[in-house]
Amino acid sequence: MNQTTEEPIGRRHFLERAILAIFGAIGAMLTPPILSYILSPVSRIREDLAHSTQWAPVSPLSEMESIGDLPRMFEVPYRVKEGWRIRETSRQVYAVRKGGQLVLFSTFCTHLGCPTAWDESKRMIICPCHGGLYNNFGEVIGGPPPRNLAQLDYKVENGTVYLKDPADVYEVGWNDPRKRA
Amino acid sequence: MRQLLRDWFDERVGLDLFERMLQKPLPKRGAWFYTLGSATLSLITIQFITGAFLMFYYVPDGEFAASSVRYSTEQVRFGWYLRSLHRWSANLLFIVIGLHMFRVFVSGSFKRPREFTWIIGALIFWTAIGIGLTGGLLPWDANALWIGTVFGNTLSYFPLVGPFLRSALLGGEHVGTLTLTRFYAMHVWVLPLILGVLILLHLYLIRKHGLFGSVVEYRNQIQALEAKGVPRESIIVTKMTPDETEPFYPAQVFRDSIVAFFLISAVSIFSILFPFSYRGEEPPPARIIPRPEWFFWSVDEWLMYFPGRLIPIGLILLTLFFLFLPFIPFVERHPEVSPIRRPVPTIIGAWVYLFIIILAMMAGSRIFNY
Ligand code: FES
Repeated sequence: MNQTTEEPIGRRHFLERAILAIFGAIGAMLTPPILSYILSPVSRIREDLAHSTQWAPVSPLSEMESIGDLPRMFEVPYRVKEGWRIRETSRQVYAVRKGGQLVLFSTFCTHLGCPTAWDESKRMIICPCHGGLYNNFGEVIGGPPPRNLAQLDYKVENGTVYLKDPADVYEVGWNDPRKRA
Repeated sequence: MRQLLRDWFDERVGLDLFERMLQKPLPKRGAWFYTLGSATLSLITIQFITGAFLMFYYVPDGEFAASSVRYSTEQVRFGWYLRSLHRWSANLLFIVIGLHMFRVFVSGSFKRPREFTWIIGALIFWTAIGIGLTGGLLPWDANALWIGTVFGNTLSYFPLVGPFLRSALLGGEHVGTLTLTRFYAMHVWVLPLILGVLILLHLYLIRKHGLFGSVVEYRNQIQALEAKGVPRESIIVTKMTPDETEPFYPAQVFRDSIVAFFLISAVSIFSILFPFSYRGEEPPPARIIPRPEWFFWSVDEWLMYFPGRLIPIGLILLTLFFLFLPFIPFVERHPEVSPIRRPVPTIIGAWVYLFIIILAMMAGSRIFNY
């Protein structure tokens, strides 16, 4: 009697462990590949950026001569690599003269990234989403934005102004994500 | 003949299980309030049906999504109708879920032994939000792009993991080609599958607990026992008396059908009177004013009050609120279910709802007056 009750319990115990081990193994076979499959684009952000437009023409320098200390908006076409596709798109930038120096800065609000616009009558840059306010140089003067509009790098070549890394549009937060190492 | 047919099926399928479920007794009083859950289910069913057929024409690719939506809205016969049904029903769904949760909370229906029914309900709520969020991107018009951008950027404010979360969700650092396919997969398959499983569990638990501890039951029994001088704490509640109950089928099914009929008619009438048109024709870029769906207005408004360095605090508080929902049954644990006899939870619940509604109204007036 004792033997018959003890033996199946040992067996049962083994089978329970085995079932756990089997499903554990199935999980281990599937989970890591699926997770890294889902997250694959995250590890390719730098690479995709490297295959996007590096320098996008903004406008001839001569057209920017007349810009004073009120920002003017420019449409900048560029190509961006998104996984399997290279897509034509465009973004806007502000150009303004600050202390005699031409400055380009982003139109994307540093709060949550909405597209801002210069309001001629109110004399400031307004974000339509949560009422972020910036002055003519893109410096925060009100609302939730944590930081001034991102200043963008540019170069002048053969009389044309080029914007650096136009595809890098991650610009929210109080540290400029574009300036990461 | 009917009996013969029944027996034939019973032998092969086991009808007695379904019959027992249909015969489960329910309290007579307050029965109309119990239709809110089934109303949610009817609208979700509408979403599954219309959604499946919207997929016949929709193409989840940045280059074609807008034109395919436009085609199905403007060219396909009744395309405008199916799409409007889907959107109006989604809108109504959030109202009905809100009412259902309020009813369950106020009537203490989440209490022992229904903790898991509530937890699964909270998970259903999360899933529904996820579906609403991912679906908002699919029309792929200018508004959808900005909503996706704002959502991703919001996530990026989580300390430490924020930027990772953002790019994991968007499939990159901006809303683009890879974002649309993953949102599409989430919206039409991953989340609805989870939703379906959760709904089955929810229904199973509802049937399992049936009548246990409904307001009527507690009130009558507690009064009777108190009259006999039994101290309040030691009262344990059992079943209702049969004359206070009736079987789920047909009376409650009838009520549920009436509610389903009116809801679906409402959705249908809204769709005919105010169809969703295709809005892919973009206004000049500087004039784009991103407008979130109204069920995210309160969230939008809430985040507004946390400027600059405080943004993560607003975000974390918001997340904690959502994470807290499933734990409510473990916070309020005493057996009292009457809203009047437990004024503190009732008042807190009402204030939370009022607060959410006020936030949404403020956001609405801000958005429309801009
Ligand atoms: S996105 Fe500009 S203020 Fe919020």
